[in-house]
Amino acid sequence: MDFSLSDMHVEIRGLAHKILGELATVEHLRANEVNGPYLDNVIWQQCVEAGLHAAAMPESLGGSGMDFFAATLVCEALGQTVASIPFIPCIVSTALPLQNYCQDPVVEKLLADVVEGKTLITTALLEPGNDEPRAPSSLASSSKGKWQVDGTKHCVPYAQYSSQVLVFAKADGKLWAGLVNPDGAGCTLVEQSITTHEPQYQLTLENAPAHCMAQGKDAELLLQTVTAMTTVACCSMAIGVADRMMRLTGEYTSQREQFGMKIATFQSVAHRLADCYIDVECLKISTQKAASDVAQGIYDSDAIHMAKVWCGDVLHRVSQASQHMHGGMGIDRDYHLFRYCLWAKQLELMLGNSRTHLEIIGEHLAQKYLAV
Amino acid sequence: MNICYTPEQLALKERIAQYMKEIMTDALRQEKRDPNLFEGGGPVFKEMMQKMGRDGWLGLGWPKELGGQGIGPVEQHIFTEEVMSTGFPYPFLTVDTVGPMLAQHGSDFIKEAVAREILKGKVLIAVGYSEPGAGTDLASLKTRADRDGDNWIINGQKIWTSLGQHADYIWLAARTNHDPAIKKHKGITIFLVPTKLPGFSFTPIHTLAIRTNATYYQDIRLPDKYRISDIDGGWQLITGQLNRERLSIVNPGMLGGIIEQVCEWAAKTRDHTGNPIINKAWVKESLARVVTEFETLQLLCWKQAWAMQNGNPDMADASAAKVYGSEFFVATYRRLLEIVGQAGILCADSEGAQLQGRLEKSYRSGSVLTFGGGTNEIQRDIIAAAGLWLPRNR
Repeated sequence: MDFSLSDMHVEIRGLAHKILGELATVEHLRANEVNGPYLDNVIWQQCVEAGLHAAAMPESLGGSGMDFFAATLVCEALGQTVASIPFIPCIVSTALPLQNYCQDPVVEKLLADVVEGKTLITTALLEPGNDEPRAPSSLASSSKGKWQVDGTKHCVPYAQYSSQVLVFAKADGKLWAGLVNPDGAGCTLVEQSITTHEPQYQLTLENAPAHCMAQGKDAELLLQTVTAMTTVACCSMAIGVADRMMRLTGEYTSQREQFGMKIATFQSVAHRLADCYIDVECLKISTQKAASDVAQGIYDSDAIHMAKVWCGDVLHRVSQASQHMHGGMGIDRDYHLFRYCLWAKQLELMLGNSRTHLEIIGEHLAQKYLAV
Repeated sequence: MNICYTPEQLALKERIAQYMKEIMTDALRQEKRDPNLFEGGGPVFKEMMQKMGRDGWLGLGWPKELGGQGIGPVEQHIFTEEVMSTGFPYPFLTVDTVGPMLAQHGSDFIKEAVAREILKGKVLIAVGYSEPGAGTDLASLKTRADRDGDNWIINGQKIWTSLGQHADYIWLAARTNHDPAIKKHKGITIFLVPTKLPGFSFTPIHTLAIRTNATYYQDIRLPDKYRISDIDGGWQLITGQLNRERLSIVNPGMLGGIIEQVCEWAAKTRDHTGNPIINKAWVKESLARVVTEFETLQLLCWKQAWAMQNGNPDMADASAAKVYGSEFFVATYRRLLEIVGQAGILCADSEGAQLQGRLEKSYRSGSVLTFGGGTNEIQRDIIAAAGLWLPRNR
């Protein structure tokens, strides 16, 4: 049982906080929002130059070869700053799960380009009206050794900025995974408007040519890897988001005076913040456990679902408490709390809300005890 | 970062579980049915404590000079969790909170005469802090100790002195300085009062779940060698003991496998349509929440133990674990009782009782947790100051 960070982990966490903390100032975020494009190239290029984005990518591809836990530390720093960079969709959801497919020269080249900062990639997990990535209604078929996909995906982050999209479909009733070029034939992107303004797209596939990655059991394992890593990344980013909302509220209530007193000296205010602190501790420790499991290659751990339960509950509670204790300031877009509150809701609902994950844990329990 | 048991820790856990089968006998279960002996103190309990002492199980984390094994707080926590989960009335206040304080702060006489005996399983200690007029505001206590040559004369009354009817000693906080110019908490000294001394007495208080006591101290002549802290320097020992107590009282082992038992019960018990209870959507969700929160409590406690091992326990985190754990227990007993339904209110000795009536007893004993060992409001004050650096108004 070891809760300590290795020297490498401490280093990567420091680097993430340095780059993101120094660059993602409120003024910078605001200017980026006004001027666009959403993808913050200034910050992303800095991440690429410092190798921060590729900390957990294998050394053979030009990364630092650190474990998955290192990537979660970057996510946490990202949550503290909410910089507009595609770390989770490009690196965590796509590049890290695909690193085991490097015997395929197409993938090897693609990932090397990602590490070099030459290209972005992303993954399409969801379909309109279908939040279950394991049961896509999209269909893949092959003829004369060439694959093509039909179907509609939505909420695909950074699809327009990406050279390849990892998509999941069914082929002959079995799960199938492949890459499509969103700019290529058979692909249509329509930009969607998202609560955080993160660029997300509806991707329509009509006989879209695809590069097959995996089928059947292999595709299931790939998808499990993608969802496990992405879920834990959401929880890790949530730690940063929730902690930042709570700290902002601590600072604000320690300065704001009413009735001639700092409002943080009122027990009702201090105790609500103390409850946020307990919530954040629970989110942190359950996420660390899930990240520790994923780092060891355990992708079907219930700890992942448990962390996501905390993620949804804690983000909702801390976000609302922070807005409430800020009064009008909390909802004013001239003050920076609102960005975190928007991310809180997006992360809460990503890849299953608290109750959908409770449903999974409960089902596992029922199966376990009914089998006895 | 690797958050699971090491193979050695797993082996230790197994070894304790095996060993406890010799300790938690039917005779002890029978003895525990007496409300006066539910928390220990009976002959079978005493026999088993001494056996555990002889076999070297008490004081895993105590220094070797005192007969302990000198292994870390993580192993100590694993031990306590495993022992508590068997339902053994483990005297954690004696072994895990007061004992280590005596080992650290006691004189050679105290170490030999008391601390060593704790490790042999021969000594029970009760804590004498609260008074009718001093609860959360503990520093306002009035029980007094006045110097008389080599002795102290002790007068006063304590309340909620749990196990006081069986205790060999009271870990007593008494006022030794009455100067109104000094702060209240700077005039308190800690003593260890042998209960066999003339002038000590007690009367029972019957609470919702267990028996506790009021204890009385009338002109007790206590030799100075039973003084533990510096004169007027007891506050630091009180907070030190309470920090340990806070972790002990939210030890996940206290649930004693009741979650698994309810899961098993819900899988084999069917409703009027023939459907196992565990198949109901709300039951599954409730159990999922209980298990999720339980595992989080375990993680929080492990981390505290690990932080202690590495010499860096965080004050706010200890308080967070106490608030979270105590509220978890209360909420969990409710959730589990909801699942068992109407039968949940059948007492242990009743015809038709389910799960030996354990839940009916647990919800009654659980309510003490949110205010015992330092009320949760004070813990939240500590979190606000130490964890969030908020300004204080007191």
